[in-house]
Amino acid sequence: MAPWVTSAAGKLIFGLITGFLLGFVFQKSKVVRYDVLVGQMRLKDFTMVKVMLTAIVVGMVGIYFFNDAGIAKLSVKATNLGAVIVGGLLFGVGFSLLGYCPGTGVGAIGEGRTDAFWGGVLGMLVGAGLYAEVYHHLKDNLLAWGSYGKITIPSVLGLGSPYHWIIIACVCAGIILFFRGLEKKGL
Amino acid sequence: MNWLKKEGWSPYAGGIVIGLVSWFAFLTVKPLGASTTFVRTAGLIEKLFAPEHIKSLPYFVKTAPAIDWQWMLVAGILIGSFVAAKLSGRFQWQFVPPLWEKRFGPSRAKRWVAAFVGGIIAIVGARMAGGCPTGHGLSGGMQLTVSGWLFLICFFMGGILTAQTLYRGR
Repeated sequence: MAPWVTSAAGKLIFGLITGFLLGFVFQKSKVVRYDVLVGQMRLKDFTMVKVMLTAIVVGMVGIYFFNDAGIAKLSVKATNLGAVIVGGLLFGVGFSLLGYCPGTGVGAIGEGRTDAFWGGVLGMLVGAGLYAEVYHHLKDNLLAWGSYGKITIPSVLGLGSPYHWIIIACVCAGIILFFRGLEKKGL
Repeated sequence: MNWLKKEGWSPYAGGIVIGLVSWFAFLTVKPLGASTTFVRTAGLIEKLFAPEHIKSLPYFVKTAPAIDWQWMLVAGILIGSFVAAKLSGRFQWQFVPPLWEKRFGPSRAKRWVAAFVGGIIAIVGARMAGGCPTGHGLSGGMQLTVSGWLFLICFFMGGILTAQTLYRGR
């Protein structure tokens, strides 16, 4: 990578470009709307799942290819069962009340949805501040429970390169079959 | 360049482009994410009023209140969405979403309380789990991390239960 890319200013510029592209697609894919995102959780509108799973398929094939070619390395978040399960469930509850996630909520403001700012972003900033007050009480118990480190589905199954492509192929096939099922049901 | 002005893309087309953007992020800096930015911004704001207090909190030591790559990414989302909405004439000031209004009425106060409380719960959950649907769901999901897929499952369980309760019988 050219040195100007990895400089502090280069990273900020790349962040802005990446975000611009992402915000543009979020809006075009309609995942910046309360009705679409809550419609997903009501299982009436599958736009969000289609966008996410398609992005996962395309992203996965590229990222594993770049990893295997030695161009970039995977960046895996640790699995802490307590933290991920409780955090994930809580996030789901908050998401359905708010109707946006952190990224799409900011995108919603770009479309003029003011509830995403006065409710969503302000709530999330207050929540982040509150969480910082209590984090040190949680980090050695709930957040540390069931800690398995930086594991992936292939690594748990003992599959390294190139055998992890078996899992990648299975995930792609599973997602495509799921999409076919959705389209057949007219969802 | 009609597709830039088109009102909406197919979700599959949108997903493909998000996948390509994730390659770009991965190759230039790191995988996509969004929720840490809310921690950094909360810290930046608190720093104005209580700089000593911020220094004493382990969470802000771990996640320093500063503008970084992801902060600029989140700012970019705002601009990108605005430009896309303007190009297709979809930009519209709106406080109460149509689906919410049909169920709970036009009250702004009611909508504000739900969004504000929801925002607090959502960010606490995301920071506990270590990511949001972008960081854990997309970036974790595509790297086949156990944490990413477990997050996605729990996120949908919590989300579906809550939405079904809010819109029961509709």
